[in-house]
Amino acid sequence: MTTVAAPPQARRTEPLGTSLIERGLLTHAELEWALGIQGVTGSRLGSILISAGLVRRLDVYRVLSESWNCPFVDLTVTDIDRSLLVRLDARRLADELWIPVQRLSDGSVLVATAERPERGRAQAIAAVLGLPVRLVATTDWDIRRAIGQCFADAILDEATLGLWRRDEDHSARRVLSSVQAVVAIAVVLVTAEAFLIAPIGSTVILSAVIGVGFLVSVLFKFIVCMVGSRYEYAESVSKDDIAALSDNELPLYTILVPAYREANVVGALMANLSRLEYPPDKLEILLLLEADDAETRAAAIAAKPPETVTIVTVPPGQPQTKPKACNVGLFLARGEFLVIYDAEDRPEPDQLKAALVAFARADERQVCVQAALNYFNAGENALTRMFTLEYSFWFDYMLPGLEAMRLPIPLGGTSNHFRTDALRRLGGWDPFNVTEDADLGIRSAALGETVGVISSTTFEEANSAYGNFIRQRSRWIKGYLQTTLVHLRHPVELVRTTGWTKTLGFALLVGGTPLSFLFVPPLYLLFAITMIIGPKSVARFFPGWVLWVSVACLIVGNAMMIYVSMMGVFKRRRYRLVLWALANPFYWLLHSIAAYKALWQLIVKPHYWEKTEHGLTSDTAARPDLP
Amino acid sequence: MASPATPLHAPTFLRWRQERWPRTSRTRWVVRLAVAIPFVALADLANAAGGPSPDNLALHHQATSLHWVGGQLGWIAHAYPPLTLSAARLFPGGAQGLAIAGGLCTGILVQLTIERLLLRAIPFANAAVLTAGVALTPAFWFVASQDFSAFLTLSLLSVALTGLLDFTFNRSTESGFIAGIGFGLATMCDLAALPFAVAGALATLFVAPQAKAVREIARRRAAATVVLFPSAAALAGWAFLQWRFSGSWTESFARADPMLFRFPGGVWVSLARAASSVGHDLVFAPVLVAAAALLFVRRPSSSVACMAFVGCVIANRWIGAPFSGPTVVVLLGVVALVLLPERLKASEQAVLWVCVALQVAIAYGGLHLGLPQVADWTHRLIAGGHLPH
Repeated sequence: MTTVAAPPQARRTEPLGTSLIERGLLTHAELEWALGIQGVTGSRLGSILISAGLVRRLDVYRVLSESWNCPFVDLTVTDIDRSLLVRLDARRLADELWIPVQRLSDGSVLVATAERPERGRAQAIAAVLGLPVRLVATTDWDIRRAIGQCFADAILDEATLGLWRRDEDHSARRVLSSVQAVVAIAVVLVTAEAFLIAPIGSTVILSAVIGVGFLVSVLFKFIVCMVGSRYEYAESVSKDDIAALSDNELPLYTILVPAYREANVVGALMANLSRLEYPPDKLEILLLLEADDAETRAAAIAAKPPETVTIVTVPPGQPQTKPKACNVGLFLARGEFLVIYDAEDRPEPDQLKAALVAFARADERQVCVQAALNYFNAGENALTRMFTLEYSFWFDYMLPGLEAMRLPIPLGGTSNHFRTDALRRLGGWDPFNVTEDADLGIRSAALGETVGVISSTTFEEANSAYGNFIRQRSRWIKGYLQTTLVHLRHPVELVRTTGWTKTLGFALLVGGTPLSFLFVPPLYLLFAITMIIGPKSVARFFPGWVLWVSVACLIVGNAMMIYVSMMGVFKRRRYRLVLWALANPFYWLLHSIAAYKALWQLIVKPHYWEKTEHGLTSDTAARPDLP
Repeated sequence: MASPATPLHAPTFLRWRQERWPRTSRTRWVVRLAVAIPFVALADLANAAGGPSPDNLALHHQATSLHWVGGQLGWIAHAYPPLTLSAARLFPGGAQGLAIAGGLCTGILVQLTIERLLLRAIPFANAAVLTAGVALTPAFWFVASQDFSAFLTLSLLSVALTGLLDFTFNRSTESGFIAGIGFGLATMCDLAALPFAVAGALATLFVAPQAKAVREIARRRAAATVVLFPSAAALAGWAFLQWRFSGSWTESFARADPMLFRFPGGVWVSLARAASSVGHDLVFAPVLVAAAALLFVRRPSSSVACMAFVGCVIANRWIGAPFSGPTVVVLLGVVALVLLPERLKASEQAVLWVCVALQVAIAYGGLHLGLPQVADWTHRLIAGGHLPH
């Protein structure tokens, strides 16, 4: 079925604003306002009117079709001849905003376009199709929706297997390479054999290796934090830099918001994103919802999202992960720059502009800037306090330190701002890696690209429930393990590409973190045993230097990590949390529980996405949707 | 929109990082070495004139007598202060090696002191004269070459105090790290540093802008905590190790300072005696007195820092963990430079010049009266023909 509106009787060439006023769709005052905005941003008048909600998209394009002297086609009720799409590139169609609809009896093709149907455009499209074309007008939304439906399989395939096809070794689809599997088995066998033959000697060697590893890892983190603390007031982007940006020069920015079963927070999302200080007509917000998530979809529609928000249905298929949804969003994104936010995020209003300034200053190799993350419900309970302690030191000291030392930065879950083209070149996110963000940061480094940080913060909801925390953390730790295994498949090549320092930094940070958590319980147990059996018995089994390393780990290591988290919350001016840093050893035990769960899942369910529930906070000040 | 994440503007901090003196790391090390060379030479001369210093020798003996790599860690009870003992174990050359290490430390201390003075908009000539008022005194030479442990401690305290000021007034957490870690390391060099860490933490409660808001009170408590934590953690950790491996929580502290908490003559008598002896030492530090007066005129609450500092020295002597007389004199001189206010007026600079001249004159003229150890040591050097009469 084709629904093509009759062509207008006479060619109308009035400007869009005048035509809309003539039809009673716009007032003079509204037009004046929109023209004022246009003077500042340089955007199209239609985009401004649509994004401001003054005129419906459909009305704008109907009027445009008249002014173009071109029939209008409603693609929501029009069948598209899919045989015409066979050799076409969906991304090109989305970028150029056209799609072939049907073959006509005269041998030409009816093509829907959301851009002015000029002769040159018709010729270009005809050249692509190899057939004469007849252009009809439609909305940009219709075209993107039609592309999403018609190319669903191709988009899903690219989102799921694109990276794997391009570079098998950079995908976590396969957990262990054959060499890694052989090495892992050999290590397990040799260790078991050693313990059978010489249990005490093996224990001593193992504890020494663990102790030295622990100490090196802690010292590394402490040094990075100290370097990061130097940049406390050295603002990479100042308020003046942001004020100096002209709206006229701002590019189209895409915001990806993947959400799954988050009906309870999706309403607040609209309010949070509406606070962003960025021209709405230069924003493209893609709300990425899974096909089976009717509840969130209903909540999103009920929230009456502005015209800048497009609800994208992620085609069903395994793995059902956030990175796969993001890849679908990446496929459709039109923005020159792109950022990811979670549904409950509250970015600082000028964050997009801060990211643009950072990109403008950096060279082309900088593919991403990471904003800091922190929590708006820090004071809710012990867990949210500890979470805040951890994030404060991580995002305020560690990441700036890693950037300053030019070490690989594992990206945080949200507020990663990308150059869209560069992200596509990198292959997007790995849908099989459950910390796709960290993996992407490391992959960038491995491919010679860089990641920076900006002193702007996104406030999130800290996990306030212990079960939820373990689930979330087990996913993160499993992801770190996956990332380590992926990037250590070719260690020699990694060293050759990135150098020794970056490789060691990556190994200590991404590989060392899960290992540390795995070793915490045995070390605590060993400590408890030594407390029970007495120092003389300990001395019989452990040489002095091993004891020294263990003692250094116990006292210096713990004190260092407690101290940096203390100072992190001090810097964040969360003064009442400073003493909570002393509870870190117990918090690390929670991580250890999650680490063992992660290890088990890496073996039995490597790509399973442990869903973190959001909207659990009872902090009414923190939850705008609560009374 | 302001938020907890919005960074503060702190030009002083940026200057701290950007206006290093000298500009490059390489030239800074050249300056440090150049300053250190005469002190290293002096250490060598002193050794030739009177043999190794008793303090350095004792430290070296203590370090070499410990069985560091043995499985039995009972020796921990004999191993306080661990930092200087480890250094004594690691540096080659025994007591003489420690004297040279002390000489090398002078280069770092002098360079950092001049750098901090320059950052306070004090002209280089004045900064050099003020620093020379401390560094060109017999007490300074004596401590640097004869008591490595004390010199390392006072150098760390100087660094910690500089960090503390920046942390308190500019809220730079990097400086907070420097202050806390500096105090912590100093505590692991000498128990006498602990009262300074405590006083530093207390100073953050009293000496800071904006006094009233509840949030400010929370901030000050938190600031005190982060300043004190490394020292507290270090001491608690060491006490735990002692208890675990020797059965006593305090044995090594008591060995390091046998008069710890003994209060000879009674608590109040020993307090009066400590206060009196420190008052006597203050005669050697007119620059500190002038600095306290200048601070009092500029911002009365800040002069508490000077008083707290002197209070710490008294507390050290009172509780029985004292620095030696020469160390106190050097410490008072160094701290005076750390605490000097910014942008001195011409009249204030003139007063300081007079005080520097007075300080140097007293340092030489008053040796016999106030610092007999230093006087003897100087005599030995001169008698040996190593120093001009």
